[in-house]
Amino acid sequence: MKRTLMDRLQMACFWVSGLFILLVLLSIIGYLIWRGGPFINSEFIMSSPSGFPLGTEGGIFPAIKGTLWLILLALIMSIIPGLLTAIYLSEYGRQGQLPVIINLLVQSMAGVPSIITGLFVYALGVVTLGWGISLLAGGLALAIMVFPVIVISSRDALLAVDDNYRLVANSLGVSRSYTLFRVILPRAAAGILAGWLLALGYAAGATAPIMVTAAAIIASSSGALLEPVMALPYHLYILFNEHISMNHAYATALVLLGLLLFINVLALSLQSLQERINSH
Amino acid sequence: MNAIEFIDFNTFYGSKPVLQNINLGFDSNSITAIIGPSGCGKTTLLRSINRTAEMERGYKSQGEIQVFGESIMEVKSLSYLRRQVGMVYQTPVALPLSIRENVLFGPRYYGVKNRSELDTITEYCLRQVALWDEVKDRLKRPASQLSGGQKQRLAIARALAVEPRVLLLDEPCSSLDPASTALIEELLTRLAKDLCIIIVTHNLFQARRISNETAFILDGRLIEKAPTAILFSSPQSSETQGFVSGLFG
Ligand SMILES: Nc1ncnc2c1ncn2[C@@H]1O[C@H](COP(=O)(O)OP(=O)(O)OP(=O)(O)O)[C@@H](O)[C@H]1O
Ligand SMILES: [Mg+2]
Repeated sequence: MKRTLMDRLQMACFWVSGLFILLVLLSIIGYLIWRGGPFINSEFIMSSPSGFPLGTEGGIFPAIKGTLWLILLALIMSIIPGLLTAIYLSEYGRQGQLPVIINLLVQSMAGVPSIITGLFVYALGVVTLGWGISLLAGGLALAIMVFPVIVISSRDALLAVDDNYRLVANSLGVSRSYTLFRVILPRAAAGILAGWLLALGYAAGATAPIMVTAAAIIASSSGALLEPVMALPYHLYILFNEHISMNHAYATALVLLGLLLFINVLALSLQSLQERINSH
Repeated sequence: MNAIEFIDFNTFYGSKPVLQNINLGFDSNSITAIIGPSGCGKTTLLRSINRTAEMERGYKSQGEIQVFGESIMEVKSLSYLRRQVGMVYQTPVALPLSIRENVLFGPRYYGVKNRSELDTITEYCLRQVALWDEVKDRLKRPASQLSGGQKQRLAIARALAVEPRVLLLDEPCSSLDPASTALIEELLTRLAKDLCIIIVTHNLFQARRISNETAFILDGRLIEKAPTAILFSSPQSSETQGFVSGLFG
């Protein structure tokens, strides 16, 4: 009797906190739709900011483009080293000290505040290597920021693959890389992709690392590596901080949030696909 | 020459000894059953032969195992050793590929590319394990859809596809129904004409039915190995006597 009462109480607590989180999320979205929704139209999405001060009129097209360029570049620069590290950790480095050290390093990298990563890339890329404030520097800063996310998510996806496959394949005398490409990677692909998407979302929303490395108040965001770019979170920050246009700030926030939700929903559905694959 | 020869062989997990001072030979073209209580080291013994035991953390070995006269530590490659020594495990494992690709997993790695040759291997190996008729219409379907007994026969076919000279089986029937078990026993008896087969089993009736010789292991030591009929009817040691009459185990 007592036990079921406790169970019910616990369930009620879970439900209430779940509902609370949902409520917070819904009110953020609702508020943004209410304040920013009316200003989103094709012109806002497809044109450059204009007016005086800049941003009171026009749209956010270069900021959307810039953000897409930045996260694409960050992903390109981080997936190869990230995936290789993950493969090492899950397939080759099961024994000895090195994997322990690498895991520790990756974990610590995940703990570095993103503004510090930004400042590091500023010192190294922007100043020392002479890139200037640029897409390349911003992409690199974001790549360093998402690298641990990619390593950890890929590593866990690979480790979740049934060890019996490795045992059975090894027993046939085939090489580890053959097994990796024919069995392990395909089996973990959905989870690895989900990790990439989560990293994309993480990069798209990050403001600090690009503020000091890549972002400009106005730029065409053509995709040239050594040019500065506009970016959604930074544009939002400027509109808001300089009181340029609250309407446009909320509209920009709504677009950014929409992009992030889209990416995350995609990532989550891939994750649940992976879970179904694993339980099969 | 024996197919497999253990010479003063010892293994450890960390500092804990598992197999101790094993001296044991296995004939080719014959089935040897290994029996013994749970935890006595049967799986470790089999996995030492194809050196997959080394995948386990803390595993160490001492002494020697020879496969057709060659020490397993001195073979030219692991791949060469494991091609000669196939192994089937307790849990039936279907690789997440089609039925056909499960069989061809090894051959493709070893460079067979020719389409008709691949077809021949697939059919030959599936026929050997009496699975061909059941699956010939769905070779391209995922192997995960097979039943446990079918998966285990597929695992044997996959091992046979790289033409091993030795086949190790670790309790291959422990999760199977009597019908599948009977199929596999029949198939092993047939395969023993060309192979050295070593089977670990908890089923003493199975050992008696199919094996030519039986080895009894207790706490990591070889107690006795003899022709199966003799080991079961008039064992040398009282420990074997106790085990086979069902006193412990
Ligand atoms: N990976 C491992 N790490 C540490 N100890 C292990 C490991 N694998 C097995 N052992 C130990 O080695 C001993 C022998 O194990 P093994 O699996 O060879 O026994 P078994 O005879 O196959 O038993 P069963 O009949 O239950 O399968 C056991 O005491 C076990 O606890
Ligand atoms: Mg065992």
